[in-house]
Amino acid sequence: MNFLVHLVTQGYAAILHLYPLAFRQEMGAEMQDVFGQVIAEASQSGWGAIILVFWRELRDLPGNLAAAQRSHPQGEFKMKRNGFFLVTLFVSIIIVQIAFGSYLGGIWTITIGLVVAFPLSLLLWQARKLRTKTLIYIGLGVLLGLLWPTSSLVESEKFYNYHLPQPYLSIVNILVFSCFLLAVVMAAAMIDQAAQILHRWLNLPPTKPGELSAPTKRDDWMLPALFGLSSALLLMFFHNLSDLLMWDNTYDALGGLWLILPVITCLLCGMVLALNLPGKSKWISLLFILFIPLMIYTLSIPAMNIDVGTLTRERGERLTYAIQTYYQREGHYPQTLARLTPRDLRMIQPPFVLNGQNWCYDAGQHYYRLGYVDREHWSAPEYRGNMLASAGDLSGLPPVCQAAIAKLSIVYKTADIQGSK
Amino acid sequence: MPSNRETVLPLSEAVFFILLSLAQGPLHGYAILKDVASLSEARILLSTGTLYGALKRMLEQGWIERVDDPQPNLTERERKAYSLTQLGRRILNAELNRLRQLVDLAGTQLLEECR
Repeated sequence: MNFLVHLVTQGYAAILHLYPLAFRQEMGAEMQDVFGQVIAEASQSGWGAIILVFWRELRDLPGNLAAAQRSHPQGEFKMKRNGFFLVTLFVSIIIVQIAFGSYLGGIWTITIGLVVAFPLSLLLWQARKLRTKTLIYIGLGVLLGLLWPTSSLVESEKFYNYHLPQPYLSIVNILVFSCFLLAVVMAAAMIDQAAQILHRWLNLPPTKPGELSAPTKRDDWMLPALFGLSSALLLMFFHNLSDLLMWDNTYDALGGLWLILPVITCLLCGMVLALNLPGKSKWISLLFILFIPLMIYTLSIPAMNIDVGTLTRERGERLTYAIQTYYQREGHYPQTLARLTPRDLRMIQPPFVLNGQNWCYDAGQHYYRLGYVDREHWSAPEYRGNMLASAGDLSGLPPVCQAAIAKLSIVYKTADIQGSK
Repeated sequence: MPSNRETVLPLSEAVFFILLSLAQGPLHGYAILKDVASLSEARILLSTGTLYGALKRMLEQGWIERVDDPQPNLTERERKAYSLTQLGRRILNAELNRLRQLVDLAGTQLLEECR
């Protein structure tokens, strides 16, 4: 409850920044005090009352802001910024309502819009103002974080607690699955800065021959670093999204619903760039408004329609071919699959029926057996060991994947051994 | 800034209830919110944005003024209360008269129809 109170209070403080400065200076502190009192009273009635109080503020916000703007006209840029935040907030809520409306109640769609899209846009607005070096360091941090895909994160029980009560589980779910969206936000912030630097650079007054202007010197390494890092972040974003969509197929697949938040984030980034970039560099915003959403859509179709069984068998066939090549060359089967890399296979791709599983491989001098743990449907309580390929005398071996299934039965407490030799 | 009573009427419900609430004496922001909810039997639940937007406009128009809070303040920040000015009271009375006339008119009309 305290977390929600804190979150809502911070959200309210952020909203106050949308009011004209003169209004905020005169009324802001008092408004925050009174809002704090209202929230403290609401918290005694539960989290629903807190959300309702905050919703009331949001509901009245457009009218109140319009009235405040009329009495305290501001500069063009601030009008743009405030307009952006308003549009962001309401577009996000509407898109989330359309996408998740049939799954969740109205209050949840608003919460998702608030919890994900609004903070991300605020983050982007602030990230643009960071010093270039700081931005690059943070970007590197995000890039390193993305080396650990979201699908692995949610598979790890160390970091993810499925037993949290609602609504906390849903909120944690949304936050975990939104982490990789930071890549888009950081990439947009970097492209924004790079474009600003480039614009300044191209519009410098002519200098005397042989004289280097200060920005040129400084931007020598920053421009390639910003463009390179933002490209790397976008590539990792696509990789992570594709991985997430494929992983999703191993469970009760959500399909296209996964695309809603990434697309909202891209549109928001595009809007910020369109508002902020000078002159013709505004066209860069089309990268986020059109190109990246199109790329997301194009890459997602194969990832969403993938058949996990077929993919696993295809990977298994490549592996079998490599094992046989190894046998012909060495005269014995490899003791472990790792011996196949890098000469026979560049990398060992795991089976894909259950994320996080490895191949079941047993081998001796002149025999081998390759299999994987299979299940008919994501919700099927029974697992079975499926053998893909074998050679030589297998007598005396336990059923294929016995150890892996035993491990699964401990984790999920539902597994049953149905192996074949 | 003096206001012409004819042009400011009718008042919005929020402004009407805020003025009505302040007619009893000076109140600070939170007390106004509570009082408006109580007077309207929880029909009007003002957001802080609406309340302070209205207070700001009324301050500029001279309908209300800031006074020292008559109630003890538990927060560190100095808290101000709002009080009706003579102009604000006249505006409220004008609105009450307008509403009274409407009710009288409607009452007379309905009585004639019943006869």
